[in-house]
Amino acid sequence: MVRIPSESPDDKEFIAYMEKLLQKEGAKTCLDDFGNLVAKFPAKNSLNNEPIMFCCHGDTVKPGIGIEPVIEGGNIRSKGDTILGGDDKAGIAEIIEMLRSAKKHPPIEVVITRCEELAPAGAEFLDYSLIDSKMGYVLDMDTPSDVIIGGPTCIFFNVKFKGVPAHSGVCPEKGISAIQVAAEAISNLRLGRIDHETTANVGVIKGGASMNVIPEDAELAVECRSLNNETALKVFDEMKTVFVNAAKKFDAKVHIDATTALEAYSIPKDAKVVQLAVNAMKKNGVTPDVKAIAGGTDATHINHKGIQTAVLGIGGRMMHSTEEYVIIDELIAITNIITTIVEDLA
Amino acid sequence: MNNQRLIDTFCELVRISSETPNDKEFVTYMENLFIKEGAKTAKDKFGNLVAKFPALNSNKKEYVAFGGHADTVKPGIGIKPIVQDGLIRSQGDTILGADDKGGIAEFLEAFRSAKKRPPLEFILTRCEERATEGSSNMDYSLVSSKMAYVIDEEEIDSIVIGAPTKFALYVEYSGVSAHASEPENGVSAIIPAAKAISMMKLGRIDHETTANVGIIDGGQVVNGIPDKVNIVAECRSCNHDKAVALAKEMERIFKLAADENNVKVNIQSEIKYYSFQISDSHPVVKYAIDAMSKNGITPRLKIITGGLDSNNFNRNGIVTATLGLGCRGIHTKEETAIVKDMEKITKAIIDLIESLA
Repeated sequence: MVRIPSESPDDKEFIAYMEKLLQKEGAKTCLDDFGNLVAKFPAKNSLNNEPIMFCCHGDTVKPGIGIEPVIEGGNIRSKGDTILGGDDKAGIAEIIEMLRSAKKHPPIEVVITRCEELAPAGAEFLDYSLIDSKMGYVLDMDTPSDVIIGGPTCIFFNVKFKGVPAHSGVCPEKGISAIQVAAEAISNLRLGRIDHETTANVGVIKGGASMNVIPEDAELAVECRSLNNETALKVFDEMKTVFVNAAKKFDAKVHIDATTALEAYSIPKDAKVVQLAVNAMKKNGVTPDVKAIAGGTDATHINHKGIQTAVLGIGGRMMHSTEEYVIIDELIAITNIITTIVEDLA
Repeated sequence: MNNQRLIDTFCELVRISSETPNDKEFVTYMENLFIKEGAKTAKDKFGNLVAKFPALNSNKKEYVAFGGHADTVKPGIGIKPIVQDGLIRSQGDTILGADDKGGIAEFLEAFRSAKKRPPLEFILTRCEERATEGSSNMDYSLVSSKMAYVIDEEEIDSIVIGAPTKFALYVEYSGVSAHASEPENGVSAIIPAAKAISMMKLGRIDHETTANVGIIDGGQVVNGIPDKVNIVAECRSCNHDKAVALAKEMERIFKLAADENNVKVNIQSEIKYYSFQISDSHPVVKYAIDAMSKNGITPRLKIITGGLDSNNFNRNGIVTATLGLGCRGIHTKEETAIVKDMEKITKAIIDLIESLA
């Protein structure tokens, strides 16, 4: 699978490949308008008619063209000039192996999303009327012990300050420095770790064009994120006030353009979807690490659509780099864990 | 003096493009022209030109220099001067290039018209518009004059007798990048940059001193803790010691913010040009005042806040005043030469040259 390139957003060919493969495995498939794939497998040796969902994404980051996997010392890596694409094709391979190996299982819905690596992601456009499951798993974390039960609200915003240009040597009193306004604002912000589940960052600053001109423009790219949606909104409001006040102080203009890229979710630790994974891990000798993370996955969107979904590992490391590799032992361990999950549910 | 020849020469010069630093062709053109007018010429390594003209109807042995720069700002290719209603403009898609070819044309006309003169030098510098690069790199052993007039201001009543020292500060903060959700693993370079700038006094510091942060550029992505920020700042003062002290103070604040925020900082501080101040009573000023007054111009002695070739000339022992050439709106497509003012200042320069003979 990793030999088939699928750099986002050019992942439709890979989705078509997967559709055929899953049909051969016995699934009924359909694509939604965005091109996300839903494949439905009937129950096997089970009277349980409550389906369970397994979801991975079909796209990869760059450079992902011409990947040649190399198996070496229990790991699989690329030849070094590309990513490996284990993120997230290791997860897909594990699901396929689980489907083939499980002696019994309830109805299973396999969802392959497009463009997870982009924002907005394919899962945002997924047609959820195609999915009957009430719970499921996304396979997209690192290790076999990962059970992710929460993700953050993430607010990205661009801040544009506009001052007044003037020659810095001739008539600086006629100018208003947009850089000075931006600097004043940033030095009044709370940045970095705000509390145990909240962070804020100014990622990019750009301002001015010439040494001898009072800069008219300065632009910032800012984010805040929190596992607590209300905290994220509160921090965002607080930051906005700081930007507006700095502009006021210098008589400059400010324009703030915000997008909520992700909205926080959280699954209770005693939810069935969590307990199933925890028990399956223990049966397979893995100590579960149940936690929330500060990044987004497809699970963020899926949980908000009413499908209680935990994120599990795939056995990969150094994702998004040309050093990306997959640990074969972990690949096997995770396959065993999800096989146990579906057999326990049968 | 021949008014038509003045305007014709001016229009001819601006038609030859010489955007910084592509001004060598124009310098060669001027060298040939000066040779035709009877000069001996020499170029230094940087390409600056010195043309020496012998005295005429005068026993004076001491050279006096005039100066101008060969380069123009952009857009300066394909300039077509349009003379209309006593004004000269470009077609609107380029600058005019009066800065500084107006000054060169006026010198030529004054030189051609003066009935007597001391030995004269014309210093034609390259790349003045790039922080006076040509005159900074000039071989001053080629120049014999102890006093000079640069013709490079807009208004014809100007006599510039002072200009500032300017420092350029190039600052680079280096922190540690990390994902924004893991601030413990990173150190933001934007925070110390912002703290430093917000601690600084910028803009007008006093009547002769200014400071500015002109450019800031840092970070790559919104969800990454930025590990690099670059800042370009400047300060200038007509009082050299104040400029030095202010540059040191800005450097101190940039460093302090780095130390307080645990990031590395690399600061390069360069003097772009040195201040000068000529006394009101210096002969170079008095001769100019007399020649202008004689032609109905009320001179204004000015201390300016920019850098000129005269900063470097003065620093190298040539007492230099800068005169106006009669234009407005330099460095813009609206740049306009005023024919009456060009004629008036040329007449004054003729009188100046003759009074020096």
